[in-house]
Amino acid sequence: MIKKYGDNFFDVIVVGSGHAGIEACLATSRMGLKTAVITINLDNMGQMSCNPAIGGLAKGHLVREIDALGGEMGKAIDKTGIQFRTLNTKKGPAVRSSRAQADMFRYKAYMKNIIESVDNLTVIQSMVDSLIVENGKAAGVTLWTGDNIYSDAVILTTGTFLRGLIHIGLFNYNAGRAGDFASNNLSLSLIENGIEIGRLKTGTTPRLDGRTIDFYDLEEQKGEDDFIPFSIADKNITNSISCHITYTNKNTHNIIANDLDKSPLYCGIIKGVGPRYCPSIEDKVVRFKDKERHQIFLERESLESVEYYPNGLSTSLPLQTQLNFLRTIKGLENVKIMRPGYAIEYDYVLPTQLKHSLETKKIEGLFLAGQINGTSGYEEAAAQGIIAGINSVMKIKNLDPLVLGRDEGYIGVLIDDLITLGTTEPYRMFTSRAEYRLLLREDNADFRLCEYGKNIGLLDEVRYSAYKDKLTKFNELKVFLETYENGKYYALLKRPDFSIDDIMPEFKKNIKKFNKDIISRVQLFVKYEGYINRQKEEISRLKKFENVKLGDNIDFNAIPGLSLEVVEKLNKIKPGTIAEASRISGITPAAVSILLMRCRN
Amino acid sequence: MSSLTYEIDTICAISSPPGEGAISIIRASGEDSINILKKIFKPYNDNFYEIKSRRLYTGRVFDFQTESYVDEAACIFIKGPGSYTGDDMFELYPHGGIFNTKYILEIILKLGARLAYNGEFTKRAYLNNKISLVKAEAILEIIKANSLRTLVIANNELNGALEKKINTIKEDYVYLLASVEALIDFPEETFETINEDFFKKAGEASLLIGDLIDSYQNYELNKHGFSVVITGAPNVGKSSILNRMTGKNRAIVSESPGTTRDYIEENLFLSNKPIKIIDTAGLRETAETLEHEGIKRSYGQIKTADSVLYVFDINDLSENEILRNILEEKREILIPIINKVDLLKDEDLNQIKKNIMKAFKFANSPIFISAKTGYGFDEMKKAVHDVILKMESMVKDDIGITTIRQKNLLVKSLNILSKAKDKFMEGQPLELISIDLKDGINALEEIIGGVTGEDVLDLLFKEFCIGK
Repeated sequence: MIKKYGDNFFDVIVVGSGHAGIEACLATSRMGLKTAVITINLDNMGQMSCNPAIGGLAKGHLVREIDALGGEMGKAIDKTGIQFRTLNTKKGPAVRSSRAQADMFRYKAYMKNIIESVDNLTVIQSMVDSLIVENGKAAGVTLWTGDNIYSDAVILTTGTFLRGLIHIGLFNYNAGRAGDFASNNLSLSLIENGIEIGRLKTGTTPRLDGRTIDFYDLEEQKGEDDFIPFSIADKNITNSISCHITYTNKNTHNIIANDLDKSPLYCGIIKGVGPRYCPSIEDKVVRFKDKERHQIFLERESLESVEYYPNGLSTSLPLQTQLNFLRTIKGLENVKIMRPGYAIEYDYVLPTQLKHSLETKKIEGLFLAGQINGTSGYEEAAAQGIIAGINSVMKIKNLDPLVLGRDEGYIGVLIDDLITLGTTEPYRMFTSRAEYRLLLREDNADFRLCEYGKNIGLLDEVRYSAYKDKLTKFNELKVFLETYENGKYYALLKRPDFSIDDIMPEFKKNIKKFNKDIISRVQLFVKYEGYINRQKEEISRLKKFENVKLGDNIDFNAIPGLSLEVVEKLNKIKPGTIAEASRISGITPAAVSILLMRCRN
Repeated sequence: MSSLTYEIDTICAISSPPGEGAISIIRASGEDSINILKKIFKPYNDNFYEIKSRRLYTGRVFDFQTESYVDEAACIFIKGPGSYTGDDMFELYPHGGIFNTKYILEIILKLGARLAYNGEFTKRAYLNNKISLVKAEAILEIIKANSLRTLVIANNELNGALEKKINTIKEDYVYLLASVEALIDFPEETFETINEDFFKKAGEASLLIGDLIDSYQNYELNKHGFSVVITGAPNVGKSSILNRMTGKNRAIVSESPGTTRDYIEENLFLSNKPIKIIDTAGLRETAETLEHEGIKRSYGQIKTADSVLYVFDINDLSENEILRNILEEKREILIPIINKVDLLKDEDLNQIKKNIMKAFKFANSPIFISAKTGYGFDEMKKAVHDVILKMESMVKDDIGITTIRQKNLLVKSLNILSKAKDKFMEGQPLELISIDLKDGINALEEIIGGVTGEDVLDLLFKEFCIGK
């Protein structure tokens, strides 16, 4: 029997301190549980291994949702960002997203500082070699030094570290990321415990010496000073740098095409599947032969460093080839590479083996979050981290898990997609994955989720009261517009060609006390009310299916009329409700009606 | 109560047409088929404990109530999911009497099967994912087909050609949706030709949808038969022509003008084409109210006619106001018929023909007939057939829709598409256009049977005759 006291016992162990691990361990310790976070390298907690940015399309939504639940990511980027912008301003308001360049050194210093200042949280630098599983329950971990640490729940956030293998040209080596050890034994322990593992690939760009870049002729992209901060209670942000835009050209593409025989991707050395939406530059050159140039954003990594991240140039070609093609690009004629670009292969767990709480179905008390579930991106990782953290606490406290619906947040969409569809390439969030995109806007993340954050006890009082204040003002302005001159302006605002700025002069005095954020929220609400109501109706119609439970022990083989393929998929994923079943790929409407009929019986 | 709750029990029905025949067919489908078959059927030479799928057995029909054999029959068992419905099925072939067939059906019902409702076998095939909704509709149309052409169109629906066409449109739609999503989710990328491509694809999809919508009218025409209207002045022998064409004495023939005061409709086939031939009241100014009403109806018939036979009496080839009006609208499909030529010599006919063509500018040559002797009727039928062929040649191909349900959904989809196109042009928010496009796709999917309400299904399957 394990002794449940002393220095080697915790309520929760979090393995890894990347973007998922941080949100997970902060959530559990802030919710009052004794937590240990174990990381291979204490200097790299909150490291931005790829691009130095937070947010972006659909990702900005995730950051604001994490913030509304009481997470740290939004606060961190507000304080350590060096350039802030809103994407898609020319398109519809529901798909606008916030993006910020981070000072990556300050970002990780901020995170390390927060982790070290939280109660209940023990920080350990070590490597985890295996899980301790007792009677089908996670009971702790064994470190590479042979020491055991025990807990009631374990959260794995291993990123790219599981049997990580870095490729630069035909040269490769074992690493979790450039500069860190790989974790080579933990995957085996998972396999031994019946967890199915797959292999993925991702990549990053070379880092350039900013002193060797000629910015003079390059297009400049400035930040926006009236940007609405990511975190609800934050008042302002600071723009300190600009980004610059340049392009590849025919010469760049020729050099890349000529050296494809030295590419591990094209020689078949890399077996893992890479992301289609974030292809390496060699992939882009091969697949889009007709495209004459590709856009490159030059992003500074930190105010304290001259390193630049050339966004759009992920590559695993040999170092010399990287240098050759870079020097064909305008502004980079004399560039020096400080760190080479590389590809990395790593193990992940097929996410269909998880429950919506992010607990594995096979091993009770084992939670997974981040790239280990097949996702890509800091924001996707953090979103799962906070949910895994919250739900490990719920589990220990014997409470219902927090499961967000697809109509409640991008987090809900993300997790539901992973669990019901699985993924064979690194999964990235897109706005098109959300069927209720008009409801799931960045501007109303707090309205959607703050009450959840408050109820589970994670959202602090400062953010909660900021949200309450906004909600009050929102309703106040809405009612004003609805009633002022019999709602004349409310009706006018519904027209696509009218904005609040056009009608503002009529009642400027009355709405002076509302800030830009509230005004734009109300405007959006009024403009899309019709569509929003339609989506709400659709949701309530589908909710009926959400409530039809299939039961844990249903034998799909015994249901007549289902094809073998359908039975196989249902048995593998074991959907909890009719609605979940209907979202599984390959499950036909006919199969759904048969299941429905079974449930009615 | 929802019909879906019954879906797993075993159903049966008599599948052969009602009445006496050589052999009857009784069909059953469902989990319990094999047990019921074992109880009712005793094969002559085979061991029935290991009943084989798709093998014809001969034997006797056993009535468990009287413990006696009631008929000789053949039977076949088909194991699911390889069967028509996807369930286990059997078919029993007793002798084709009315009483014995019904009695055997009753035994099967008492053994635990339930009488199938209309179209239930096909509905199960749909629910078991054996056929799509379009295919289910096609089966219904094949049963109802009344001409070679309707059969060909319905068969193209069944063999998946229509579905393929709809899927092509769906692919265009998905392309449009993908363009919109690309613009939303990748704001930092440059897509050079995306606007151009969007409008091109939207245009292509609209054309394809439009073609399919048009095809419905052609199908309806084929299904209900081409209407051939016989008209002309009173007492030129219109009713006699109808009587001779149909071989019936349907219309009252008399020497006094204005005998046919309402129209008379008869159906017949003209080289595989279903024809609705309509005899109308003669056209003239009249004071009599009853006849006046008849003339009004005649005009209505002419307006919707697919072909008009305008009948002259050879003794009166004068021009009149009424004929000029009809010619204006129906010149291409109007065939002038000169009746009562038995009263005239052959050599005069050519001269008369020339005169008529000169006077009236007909599109089709006049045809000389005698309703009394039958002279010229073959030539007249050929002329009608030619007009029909000419109309049909304007239809592009034999792949088309066959039901008003399909047409309405296509119209809905087309409207949504053109709305989305306009919004895209005006630069309205892309996420709203995306919602429209998805609605447009849903309308198409509803045709093939992607997501559809149970009531639609019930209505659709009710149209089948029992046992299919």
